[in-house]
Amino acid sequence: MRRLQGAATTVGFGGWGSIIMNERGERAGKRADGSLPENVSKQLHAHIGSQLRQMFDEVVQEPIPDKLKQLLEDLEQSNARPNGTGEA
Amino acid sequence: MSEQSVPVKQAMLKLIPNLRAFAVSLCGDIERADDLVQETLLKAWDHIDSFQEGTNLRAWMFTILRNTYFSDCRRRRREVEDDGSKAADLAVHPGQEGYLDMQDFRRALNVLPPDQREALILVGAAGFSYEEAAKISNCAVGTIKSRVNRARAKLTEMLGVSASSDFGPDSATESVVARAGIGGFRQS
Repeated sequence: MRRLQGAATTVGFGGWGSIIMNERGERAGKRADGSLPENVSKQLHAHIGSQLRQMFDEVVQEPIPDKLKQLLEDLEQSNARPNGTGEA
Repeated sequence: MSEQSVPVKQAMLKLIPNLRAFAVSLCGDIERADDLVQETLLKAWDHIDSFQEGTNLRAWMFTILRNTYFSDCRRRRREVEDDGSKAADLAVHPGQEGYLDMQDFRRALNVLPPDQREALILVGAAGFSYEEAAKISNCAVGTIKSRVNRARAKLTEMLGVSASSDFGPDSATESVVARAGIGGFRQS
């Protein structure tokens, strides 16, 4: 198992490492029941939320693939009546 | 009917980015996601008469997409735990701050059971209420809430483990994290 080096915490794991490890380089200790301290849990939850939205938004901002645009065009055309105006 | 086609087409076109984002979050593979969106558009178009005007088209199409995804999964008989390696190839920009974070996050998300992943995405990323998410997933509101809570707890555990090996998680989580390649752990 790879041991976590001090440098790797900030370079390799970015946000996660900085939540688990504070400015003094101390790791948030687990409580007796094995759970994380409440403030650490809350930070992780907030971080998860922003990661989710960022991941989702990255795809939302991509341009629509041509084949999907074309599909809708084809569907609309196939619905147009032969003698209809079928506004494009 | 051509008079209705134009506004319906426009409305669906505007929803494609959202549908793609949802599909990618569900299956972790951009090509498969676009196939799912394509199928969804076809089905939605064919069944547009069953859509109640004035209701939420986005929710309706999300429902079609997730139904398509789940029956596709059954057909493929995929294992629940995907190593998520394809998810890491998605729109990530090398050198951007948090690059490794996002890779780890996508991998961790793909390890979740699909119903938990779906609930978490609907509520936490796509912005639906618990009630809307319950309708889309065809389950009770309480079920959505417990799926979201379990997903969050599991992600917290997996991502907390990857950030510090000193936490000594239970061996089950450890092996899942190692197998999924989260946080640079590799199965030895």
